[in-house]
Parts: sequence; structure tokens; C-alpha cells
Amino acid sequence: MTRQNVSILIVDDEDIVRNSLSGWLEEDGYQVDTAQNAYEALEALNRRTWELYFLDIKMPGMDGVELHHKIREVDPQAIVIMITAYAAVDTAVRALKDGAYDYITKPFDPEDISRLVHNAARQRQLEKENIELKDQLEDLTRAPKIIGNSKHIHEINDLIDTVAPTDTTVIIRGESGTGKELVARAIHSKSKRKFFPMVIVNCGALSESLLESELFGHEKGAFTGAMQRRKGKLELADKGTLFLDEIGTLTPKTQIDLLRAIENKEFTRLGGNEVIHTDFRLICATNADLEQAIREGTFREDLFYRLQVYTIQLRPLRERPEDIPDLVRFFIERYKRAMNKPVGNIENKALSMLMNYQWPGNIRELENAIERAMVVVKGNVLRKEHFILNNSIREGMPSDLSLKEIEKKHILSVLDRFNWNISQAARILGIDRVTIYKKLKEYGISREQHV
Amino acid sequence: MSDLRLVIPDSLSRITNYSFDVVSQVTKLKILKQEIEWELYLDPVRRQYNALQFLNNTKAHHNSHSVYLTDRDLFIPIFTHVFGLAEFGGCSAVISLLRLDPAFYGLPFNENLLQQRLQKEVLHEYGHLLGLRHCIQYDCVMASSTTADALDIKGMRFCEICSRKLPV
Repeated sequence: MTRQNVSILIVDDEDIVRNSLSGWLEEDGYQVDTAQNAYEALEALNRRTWELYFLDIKMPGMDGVELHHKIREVDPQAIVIMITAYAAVDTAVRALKDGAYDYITKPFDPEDISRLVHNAARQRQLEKENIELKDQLEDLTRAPKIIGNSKHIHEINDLIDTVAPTDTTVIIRGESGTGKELVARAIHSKSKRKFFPMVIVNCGALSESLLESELFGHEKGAFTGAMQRRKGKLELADKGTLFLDEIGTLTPKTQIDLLRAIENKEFTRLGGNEVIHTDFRLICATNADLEQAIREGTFREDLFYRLQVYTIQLRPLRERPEDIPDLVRFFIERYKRAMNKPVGNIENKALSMLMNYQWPGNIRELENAIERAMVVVKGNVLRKEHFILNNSIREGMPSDLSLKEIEKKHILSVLDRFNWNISQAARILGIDRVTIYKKLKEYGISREQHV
Repeated sequence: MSDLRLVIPDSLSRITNYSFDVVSQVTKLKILKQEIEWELYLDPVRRQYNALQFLNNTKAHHNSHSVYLTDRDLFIPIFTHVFGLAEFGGCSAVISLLRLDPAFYGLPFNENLLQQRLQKEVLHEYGHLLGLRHCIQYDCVMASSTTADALDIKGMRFCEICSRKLPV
């Protein structure tokens, strides 16, 4: 900060003080303004603020101490130096306790004041820089926004806000493409760990031995090809968040190793003896039916209970079509910028088509559909013909079923979709409720059996 | 550039023997003797002399700049003391030798050092008369110096930037 950038306001009722001090500071290259009394100063503060303030404590009307308070209301970062006519230490000390930077006694020692202004300007500069840097960091670590306005999205946001500040293990469940990783990121960004890494491991993408080495790291020579020591993701996530995606694909051995590492917050690298301590917050995600996996014996029950402390269940997009317009607008905006295309809207017919589609791939599929439409569109409105929805490959029925079997499957799938709400299912199937009950009885379907 | 008149009282007549070589390189220097009625500017409580009042009372001398020297302790109301004071862009400046003298700080008298300090002060106040502000170059003669030590640290010349601002 050069001196030209440092602005100073002097508030003193004595002409001689205002003129001499401002003259002297101007000679030093500072930008100086003056005010005769507190009211004049407050009037000027409506228009702008200054970096430093010199306030005479004793002034007729409002005194410097009160003016100091008012300045703080407008400009909390203000650096205020009180001027006292004689060594009125009591008042000066009170001003310091109120947050004044320092005080000087008239007449001033030129050296004192020169040093005081220099230090105060430096402090102000550091504070400014600090605020700017924090803002920049804040931008970098800002929590991603979960798009949508449905009740479900509000609930999800509440769940995130509740759990984020804690260190509790979270498991996020939901179909593929429902935004599990986004939720994990939001939790991380809203936690006190946000300035530390969020380490992501996709458990489904790696073989057992590779995944173990990825998670726990390895020592040099632990296995063929282990040319050097490598830190594992658990170690890298120290003080941050470890996000394990597709936790349902873990093999029994990895499940045991992971369980031990989670419970003790310590582990050893592959081929090593050194016990490594790590402090991470665990977030898992899965689209698998873990309860079923436990029944089948492929997923350890103890690990399951260790992970299932706080569950966030994401509903598929087809169950909350009211979020689709917001998502569509969001993705149009994203690709509009990325592709630099003047597309700003979507026709109603296309939007209602998107809202009626089943979205088996959920939000990921929606995003891809919009990206594709944005590529092929010529004008500035997305139309129905720009979208290709995979209606054709929607889970078809095997061709060797009898009509009865197809009817049974279809009734079941509709009931599933509406969470066994008979009235809703009946409306979709175009039959009345009594007929549904009859059919259920006929096919031997009961709710207990299927839910 | 206009001439610089250095006005000294009888009590400081020894100064006529001092070297002002650096000042002379910048402007034509004339040394004049003149007594000032300092008692007019005495503040009885502070027992110091008001430099600001003195400058306000001093008439501009046609077409030249004047620097008045004194051995009295100078002050302006807001400061405990000043080494010197100049009307910014004006005609008159005043310098006190009292606090430039090492003897003031209980150190042995050192004429050589006093000469150097005085010459720096004269150049500095002359710079103000010519419209120069304080300079952030620590070794420029226009650097602000509020202590005798700071005065010794800075150099005896205008830095390049200040030189360029001087009227030709």
C-alpha cells in the first residue's frame, strides 16, 4: 500500500490541530480530510469511509468516544487513534478498551506520530488483505448447491446442514446419478474440515489388492511393482474427509481391514509395520441394497452398523419431477456458458416431456440429455426434437412371459413405484381399487412379501 | 531557480564558515545577517518558540526564498518540537540548530556532524519551499526525519524522482 492509498480523517474542533496535522500528514503523502466536529464527520461517513481516523476525545457536542462507537457501526474495521489534550489516561484507556488502535497526547512527538501512522496503515493493509484472501478461499471452498425446490431437496439440505458440522460418519444412499457425490461435497464444504482435502475413492473401480493399496498405501517392496513407499487415501485424508463411493462392492477382506481402520483411526501400510494414525471424517455412498447383501452374507453386518450412523437417502428423479424445471434451467445455464451459445430457454412441450420421463439414469442422464440438446440446437430455444430419451431401452419384459405373468409384474412395478399406495396405482392402471385387491389375491401378492 | 537567502543572527555567525557546497550546487546561496525578535513568538508555558506564528508574520521577500536560522527551540502547537518548518510552496522557512547539535542529546559537540545535519535541513526545507513533499526514498534529502538519527541516515541530495519535480 503506498501512502497515496491511505486515507485519513481528522476530527478535531481546534483549527490549529486540524490544519497542522493534516498539513504534516499530507506532506508525508497521505490523503487527508478533516471535520470540525462529530456531526460533520458522521455526515461525511454517509458518503465514504477512511482507512484511519484521528478523533479528538474532547469536543463540544458529541465527544470522540461516542463518535468512535458510531464509526465502528459503519466501518467495523476502522483504525481509530484518539487524540487527548493532556495525558487523560482514564479516557484514553477506556477508548482503547472500546477498540481504539492507540491514543496520542497533544502536543505530539513527531516521531511517535510518524511511527503510529505507519504502523496503523500497515495493520489496516494486512487486515484488508486478510479479508480478501479469506473471501477468495471461501469462494474455493464454497459448498455446491443442491438444485431443486421439492420438499425432498429441502429435507436433504436440512440433513446436510445438521450433520456437516459434526464428525459423524454419513452414508448416502440412492440410485446411480442421484447426486451422492455432490451431497458428500456439500457436507465436506460445510464442515470445519473444509480447508483440508476431501479424498474420493471409488471402491467399485479397483480390484481388491489395488483398492487395498489405494486405501492403506504400501511400503517399498510390499509387492511386485511397489517401487517406492506410497501414502494411502486414508492417510491423505488426514484432517479432511474420506469419501468411499460404491461401498457395496467391497470384498470381505477389505471390509474387515476398513472396519478396523475406521474403528481405531489407525492402520498399517501394506507390507509395513508402522502404525499410522489418521483423522478423517468418513462419508460412504452406495446404490446397492446392503440389507439384502447382509442377508446373503456378502456384506459384513458390523461394518454396516458402523457406517449406518446417519443415513441420507436420495430419492430418484422420477419421484420428484417438480425438481426437473430447476435442474433443466441450471444445466442450460452451465452449458450455455461452456459452449458459448445464446440458448436461454426451453419450450413448454419439451419441458413437460422431460418431466414425464422416467429418468432411470437420474440427474446424470438429465444432464447428458441437456448437453446433447445444447449441442444440436440451432436457435435459442430447446425444443422437443432436440432430445433423445431412451424410452426404447426401458426395461422391457422378457418375451417368454404369459399375459398373466406380465400383468402381475406390471401391477407389482406400479405398486412399487407408488410405495404401495393402492389408490394411486389403481388410477395409473386404469382399474378401480377393488379390482387391484382382487388381482393381488389372485396372484398371491402381499405387501409384506415385496417391501 | 530563484536564489536562496540564508538568514542568520549574530549569535550564529560561526555558521558563515560552514560549508554549504551541496546547497550551492542546487541554487545560488546568499548568507545574510539579521536579528529576529524571537520573544514575540515565545510560549511562556512551553518555553519554546512558535515556528508557525513566526512564518505567518514573516513577509515574503520579493523573488527569493528565505531560510531563517535560530538557536531557539521551535515548536508548532500540535508537536512537541520541530527541527524546522517551511511554508509549503511559499517563500519562508525556519530551522532551529538546537536539536541538530549532538550536545543537545548529551553527546560531545561535533561540528562536522552539525554542519552535515544543517545542510540537509536547509536543502529539505528549501525543497518544501519549491513544492516538494516528503519522499519515501530513505536516502533522499526529502525523506521525513523526525529524529536526529533519521537525519543522519538520509543522504544529502534530492533523489532522481524529486530532482525531476524541481522547477528548472
